[in-house]
Amino acid sequence: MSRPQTSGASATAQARPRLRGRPTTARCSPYGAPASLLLHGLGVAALLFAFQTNLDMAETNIVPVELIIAEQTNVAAAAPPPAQEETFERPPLEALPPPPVPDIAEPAPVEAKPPEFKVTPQRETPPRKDINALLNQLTTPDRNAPRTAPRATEAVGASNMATASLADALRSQIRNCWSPMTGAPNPNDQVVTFSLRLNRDGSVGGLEVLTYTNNAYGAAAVEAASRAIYSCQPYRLPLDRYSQWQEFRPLRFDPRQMVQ
Amino acid sequence: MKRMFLLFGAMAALFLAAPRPAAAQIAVDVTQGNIQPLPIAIPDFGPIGNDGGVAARIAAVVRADLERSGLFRPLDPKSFVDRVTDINTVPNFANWRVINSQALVAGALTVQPDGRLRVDFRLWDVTASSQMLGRQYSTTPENWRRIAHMVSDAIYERITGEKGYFDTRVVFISESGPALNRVKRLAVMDQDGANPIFLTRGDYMVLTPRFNPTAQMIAYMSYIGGKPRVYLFDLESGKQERLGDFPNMTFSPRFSPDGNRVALTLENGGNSDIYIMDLRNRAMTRLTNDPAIDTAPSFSPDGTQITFESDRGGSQQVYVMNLDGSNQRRISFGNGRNGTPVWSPRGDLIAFTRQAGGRFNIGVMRTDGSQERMISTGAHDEGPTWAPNGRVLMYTREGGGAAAAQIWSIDVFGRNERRVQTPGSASDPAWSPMIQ
Repeated sequence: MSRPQTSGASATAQARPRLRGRPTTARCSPYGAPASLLLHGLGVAALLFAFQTNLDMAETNIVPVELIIAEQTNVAAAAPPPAQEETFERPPLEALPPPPVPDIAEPAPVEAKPPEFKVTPQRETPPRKDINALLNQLTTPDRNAPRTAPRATEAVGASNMATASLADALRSQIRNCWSPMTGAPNPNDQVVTFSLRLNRDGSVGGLEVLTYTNNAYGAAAVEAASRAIYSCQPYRLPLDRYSQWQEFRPLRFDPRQMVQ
Repeated sequence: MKRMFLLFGAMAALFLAAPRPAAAQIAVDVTQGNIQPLPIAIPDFGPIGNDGGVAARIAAVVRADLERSGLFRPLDPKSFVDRVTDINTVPNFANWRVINSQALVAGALTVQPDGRLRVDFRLWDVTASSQMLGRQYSTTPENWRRIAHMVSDAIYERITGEKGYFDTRVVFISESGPALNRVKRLAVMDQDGANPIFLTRGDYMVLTPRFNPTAQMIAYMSYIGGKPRVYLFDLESGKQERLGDFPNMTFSPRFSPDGNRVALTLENGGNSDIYIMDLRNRAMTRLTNDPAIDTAPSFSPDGTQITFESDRGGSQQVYVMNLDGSNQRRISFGNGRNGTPVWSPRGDLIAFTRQAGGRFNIGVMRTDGSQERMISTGAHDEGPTWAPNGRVLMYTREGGGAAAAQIWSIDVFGRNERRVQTPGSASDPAWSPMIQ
């Protein structure tokens, strides 16, 4: 009785390494636990973690700096007006003594504020659209598709495609847009994970940071990855498999191999 | 128990199911990207009052700084389809996205009633439609370039997570005249080549200038009176003084991170060893005692260790020792000869010069000698110096067609190699810390 269970577990692990190998915060050994217990446990743990992470992010990372976004016009900022977050009044910069270097004159140190951090910049709910309109939109050449080539759509489409190829399809599109900032003293600081929800038209429906390092390098890494995610949309993925690709989680950006 | 567990799980699932699609989630690892400079729009800063054209020049300096870093691609202002009319209104991001800009800098310059300049700027994330940074600086008009460099530093820091390095200077040896009778003068300039100033007249040879931590003092070696000795040059007062009175030559000075000590090499009867002089009482402490040539000391940023070069093993190699001279150990084991080690201000790497097979490289390695990599190659590349953020280096390049010495810069990964603008031929650069 125990043998088939064990082999079943390892077969699952081989077939879906990403699903099991890299939950964002929970770490589980791929070895040996009875399959059913492991998967149940994982499922519940992942749900709980997701729940917890959401709470954390909401509390700590949304900094109300933004002047409200006005897409249409140059409306005066509705929020705290000239938000000069930081004002450095320098002491008089009267020239220092004599030449030879008059221009070493001396501004006071500039206080640096840790970067504010905004994640989930666009968390609107997906626009409600008539399904026919959506289908039309997806079958006509994409109006505002930027540079992304439609290779994913061409390459896939068979209904028996494994989730791994959906992951590959997304990865092959995002990597072209991703220009990570490399070179942190601790390269682990630049690894970030997201949950990315996509609308049926391949646009970003929601983006949430799951894990990142809370320092300037981590903040820069989150922003570089967010820029990639937003600037690469819409993603070209097979519509008949939308139920599978409506959420990518964890979507992990790891530039460590690129550094060396 | 099991029932409770299931119930709890079911509740969690129900709670989460509402805002989230109840579908499988696919995990994706992205480990390769496409490193490109970030497209950034930096329109000329809006002048308010009569600024004499400074507002436009500030924006131009910021564009040039960021472009030279290799990490940004300032877009041509001619491509802009929109303008920043008021930095206190939210930009129309769509108009900046359309030119593929990912960031926007909106700045304004105000000439205040007392004549001082005030610069306000905001950095916008065009992709996410949000503000990343807003700052204000003010200064006297002649310091406008420094304000521009500070704006560049703020943008660089906010977007890369690294400290900036634009508000810095470089001291170097300016060379002129024929090869056999080369005039070498001590000179200092901004890191972008602006404001070059000669500090000595060229009556005597000068070599190896180095900044102290406040960037106000330079230690260097000079042949005043025919004897090579280490001198200090005070940039504020213009005063020079000889460091110690020794019968033999002293050379290769370098300040400690706290600025209170100078490590240098003292030659005695053909044997060179490394000493530390305490600048407060001029006491000398000997660190190496070896018949070989030990020279080119450089402190670790925490001040506890010194890296240096020595030929005690038969060829010139890089060594590390504690501040009291104990635990001297070789760390370079690569090909050829390795010298002129310089500890990164970040503490993680040591840069050095390699000479092997008739070629020179600038290389970097971890402080234990591991993970060595060559970042530049030339007929004669030598003498690296670090930007204060530990990400960019300058060095001297000679030969290879361009016989006269030039200063070049490169980043720590070997990318973005460029010539640094200098007034004429130049060598032996030393990068200042961030100016206080």
